Amino acid sequence: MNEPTPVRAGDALEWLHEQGKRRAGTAPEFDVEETLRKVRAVQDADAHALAAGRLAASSPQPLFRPPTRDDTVSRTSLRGHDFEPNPLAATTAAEFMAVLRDYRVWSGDPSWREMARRTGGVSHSTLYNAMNRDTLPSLRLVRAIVVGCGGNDNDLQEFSAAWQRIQENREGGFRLVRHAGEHIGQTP
Amino acid sequence: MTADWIGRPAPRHGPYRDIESLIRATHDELGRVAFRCLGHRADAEDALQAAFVKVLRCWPKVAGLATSAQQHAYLVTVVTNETLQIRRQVHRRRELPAVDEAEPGWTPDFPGGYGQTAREHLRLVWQAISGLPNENREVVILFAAGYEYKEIAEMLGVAVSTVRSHVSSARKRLLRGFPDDREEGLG
Repeated sequence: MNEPTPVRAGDALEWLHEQGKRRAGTAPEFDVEETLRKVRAVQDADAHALAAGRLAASSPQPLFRPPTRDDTVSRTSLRGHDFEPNPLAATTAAEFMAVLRDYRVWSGDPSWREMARRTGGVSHSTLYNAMNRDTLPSLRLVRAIVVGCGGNDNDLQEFSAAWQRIQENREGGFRLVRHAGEHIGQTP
Repeated sequence: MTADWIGRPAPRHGPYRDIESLIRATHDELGRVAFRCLGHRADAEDALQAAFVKVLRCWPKVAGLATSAQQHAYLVTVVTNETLQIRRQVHRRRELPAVDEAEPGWTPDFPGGYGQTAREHLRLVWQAISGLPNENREVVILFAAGYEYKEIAEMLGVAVSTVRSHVSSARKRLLRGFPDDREEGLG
């Protein structure tokens, strides 16, 4: 009887259920005003943090440090052939996101945590969530992803330009899209 | 006897548009749920407040739900998840909790043995429960809090048969062993 019987979590579930039943009707009163005070305090703190975040985003040197030399990937591969995905070829948000995903693979398929480390301030889950959607993330986040993939200034510029064009096109109708398409099609 | 949930006024139809009226309307019943889960006044209060803070942070999502009943169900889920967090913290904070402290109302019939062993087993049981898939987990936590299938179904706005199947699939998963065993390919 002193030997502990090996418990299986399944049995314990019934036991817990019985224990829980005994607590029925014994709950104390909880002060709703206290909860409201706490929630409001958090709300204020969040608002402050957000304001601080906005300041940081508009400052000339944003969250991200420039990639170090080791972080950057080689520009050319396979005897001068360069398969670097071209963001300027994208005309819709979905295409842009596809290029961004290709770009990540092209740059050596870095892990989400590694990317987060390189950006120095964006969490791995934010990066993951942004990249697994087909909607356009914020420009700040796009730049974070490019930096996270070890991109250089040129890549940053191209992705930013592509982002701006798609963002503008959302409301601006077809003109620019068609223009971009023709441009890509003009291979002699 | 178990009138913690059943017998509350019929849910109004439209969703709550501001967080304060949502908190005022749901505070008492969610407090009772948190207490049923944790059995500790202070712990339950922590879970309750943490849950509402979480709701604040995803308010657009909660405000966007179609009915107040859906908001209720969502809040119950958030509360149950918070009780798990609190449980984890409690195990860390109170190095060696007496079993009756870790699980108030403890009686010597706990199938896991006595004293120290029971305490460790209880911790493993909760660890196993937190490892369950999301949809099973909330149902199991509520079941472990002593709610009947019918009550759980009403709280979460799902069918009784759904609750039953979640509990039974969770039981199967739990019987398969603790997470430690699972890695050795017992499945």
